[in-house]
Amino acid sequence: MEGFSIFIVDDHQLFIEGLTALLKANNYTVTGFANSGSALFKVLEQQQPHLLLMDIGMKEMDGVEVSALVKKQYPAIKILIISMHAKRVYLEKLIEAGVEGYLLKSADDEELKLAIRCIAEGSTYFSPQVSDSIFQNMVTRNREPDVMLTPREKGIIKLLAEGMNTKEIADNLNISINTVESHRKNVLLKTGLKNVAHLIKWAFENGHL
Amino acid sequence: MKQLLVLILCPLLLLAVKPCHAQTDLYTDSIQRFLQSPVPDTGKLYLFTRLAQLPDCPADTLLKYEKLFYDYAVKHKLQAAVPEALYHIGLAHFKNTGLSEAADFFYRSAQLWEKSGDKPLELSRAYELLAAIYKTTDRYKDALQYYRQAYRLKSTLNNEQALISTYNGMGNVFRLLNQSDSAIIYLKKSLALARQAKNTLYIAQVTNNLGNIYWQLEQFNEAHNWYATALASFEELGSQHNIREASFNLGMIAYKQKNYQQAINYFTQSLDVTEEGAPLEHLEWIHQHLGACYAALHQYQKAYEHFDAYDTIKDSLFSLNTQKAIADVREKYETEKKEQALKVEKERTQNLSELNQKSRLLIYLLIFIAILIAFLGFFMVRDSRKKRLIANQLAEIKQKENEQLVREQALKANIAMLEGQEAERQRISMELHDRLGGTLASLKFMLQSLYGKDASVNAHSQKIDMLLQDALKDVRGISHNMSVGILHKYGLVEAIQDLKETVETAGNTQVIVSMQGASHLAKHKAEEVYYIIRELLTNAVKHAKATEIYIQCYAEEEILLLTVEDNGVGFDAGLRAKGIGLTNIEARAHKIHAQMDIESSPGNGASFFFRIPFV
Repeated sequence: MEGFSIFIVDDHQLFIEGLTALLKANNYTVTGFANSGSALFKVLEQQQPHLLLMDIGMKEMDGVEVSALVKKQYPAIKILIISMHAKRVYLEKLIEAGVEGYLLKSADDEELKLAIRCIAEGSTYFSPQVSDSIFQNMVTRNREPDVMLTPREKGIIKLLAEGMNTKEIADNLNISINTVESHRKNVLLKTGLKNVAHLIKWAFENGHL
Repeated sequence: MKQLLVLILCPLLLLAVKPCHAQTDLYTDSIQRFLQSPVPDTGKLYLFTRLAQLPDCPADTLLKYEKLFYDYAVKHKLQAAVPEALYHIGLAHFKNTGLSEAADFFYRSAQLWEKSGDKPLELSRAYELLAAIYKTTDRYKDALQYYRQAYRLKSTLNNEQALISTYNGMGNVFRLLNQSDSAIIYLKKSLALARQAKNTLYIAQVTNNLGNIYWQLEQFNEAHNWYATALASFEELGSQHNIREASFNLGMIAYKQKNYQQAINYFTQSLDVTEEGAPLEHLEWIHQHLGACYAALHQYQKAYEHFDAYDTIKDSLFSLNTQKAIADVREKYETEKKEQALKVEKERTQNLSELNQKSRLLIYLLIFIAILIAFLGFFMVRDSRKKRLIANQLAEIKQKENEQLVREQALKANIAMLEGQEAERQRISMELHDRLGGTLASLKFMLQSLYGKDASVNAHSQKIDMLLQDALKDVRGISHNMSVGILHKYGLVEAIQDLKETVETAGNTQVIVSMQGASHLAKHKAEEVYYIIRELLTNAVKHAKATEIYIQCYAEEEILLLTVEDNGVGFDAGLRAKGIGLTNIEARAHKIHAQMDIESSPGNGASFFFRIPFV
């Protein structure tokens, strides 16, 4: 890829050398490397590469912060994250910052080349291992009701609906009165309801009974 | 009542008895008879007592009666009658010339009257009698003292008549002290009062005493006049021994004035009235002087007769005089001894009373001290008991505090250990994750860069890649420990979310999270809460084999309510020995002042409730 300069940001020197070797072996132009965010910004003042291969786990500023800053100051520079982490939170933050791709360090050279090519062509590349977790999370979040009840809470509401008092419920469920009280309070708090009568009505209407 | 009756009856009876008071035998017999009756009648007793006090009553009878009266008065506690009885007993002794006994009783009566202070006249009489006794025993100064006391008492009574005897007594004492001027003044005072009262007895006595003074002063004419007056009064009274004395004195004056015939007349008069039992000295003197008178008148026959009589009497008198002198000395000695004894007794009683008072004071003091000690003791005991109680309570509190301290220390140690552990874990996972992961990744990239260049490497490239992939995956598996970085960067809610994802990614456990209000928790508290939840998740997955874990947070005013429930195997919350996991959780909860409740029973899952104050 002629004229497409790549710059590596990682605090792990050995990794930089390995990666550089691989990239050079595949005819990529590696213009340099930086071990920290601050070192990177010094270089960026002189020259702006087309692509930054960025690690997340760095001392001082982590890759998420550095990426956000780079994108803010040099929006033209594309960023591909190469990290050990597959954390949704980081991914979300990085997407928010505007990075173009995300690879795990466990990725093989083929995937690396694919990711660089995608980005160089103006597209994005997110490792499926990472993007899957995002989708998974989004799916479960959507699946979860606004107010979730634990099995224990459901049991207690059921017994309340049967007209039992706290002590009877405690005896029935073989738990302490304190526990029943705590659960009841939790349920009222999470539903925002004032009393048990409202709670029973609400539970009935929402199919918990 | 009885006393009152007696008081009313007595004057009447006295009046009835009075006409026959001269008949000594009559009432002496009555008294004798009365004395023999076993139970004396009070009224009669009083009456006879009064009778016995009449001048004609024999001293013995008086003594018997007064003694009876005294016993009666003492027995019935007739306080007023006791000194009176004593006085009359003294009087009886006085009459019997038992001077020392008399003085003793007078003292006693005087003491009682002094004490009661309601019988000044009686008291002054007692004083006068004591004075008379002193006078008789030649202790004139003492006698004068008592007369003066009597005088002082009597002068408060507005009864001049009472002073007759006092003035008379004082005059006599002054005479005996050779203070004639004073003697004359007092005797004349007495005489004036006696004349005023027409008291012949006193007129006679006082004038006789005046005669005695002038006799002493050798003013014989003056003496003669007074003696003559006394004689006339004595004659009026029919008092034989006084007539005897007075006429003898007149005879002596006449003799001194060499008026022998007149002297003979007086001496003869005196001799005529000299009764049986009269002092022999008197006869001796009369006979001696009659002899001298007749000799002077040259009537030798008569002179001889009288000298002869004088000789006879003188001989018998010699022995009598000796005896009398001895008796006198003995009497004086006895009186003195009695007085000494009395004085000693008085001092003794005084000492005793002082001693009593002292001992009483001492006793009071002792009682007071005893009470004080009792009080102090009571308070001290109460105090010490209180102190002991307080000390016990303090000790208990201290022990509790110590226990609390030990527990807190243990918790702190636990927390410190946890933090150390956590830091170490983080460091190791960081090393593993970033360093080792990076190294593995770089190794992989390097190898991949070699593929195609070296045939020998190519042969194994696929195998090497697989091994490296596995190694990298394993290293990444450590990454759940890395959530703490997320906690610090993105807060508790994201960190818990990350934990959930990590747990869910790792296995079959579903974690349902509902975090409301947790973002308001202070950073240091949030960290503890994060570790608590992570520990609970680990326990639920590893030990309880839970498939569902519910994590809920709700804010209730100042409190964050955290509930973590699982559907695992559960445990006996009552019996559970605190596993290291639970101990750590408790330590962390304690650190952020959170209240922790655990509900679990075998097969029933477990619920953990935390009440975490925001502040």
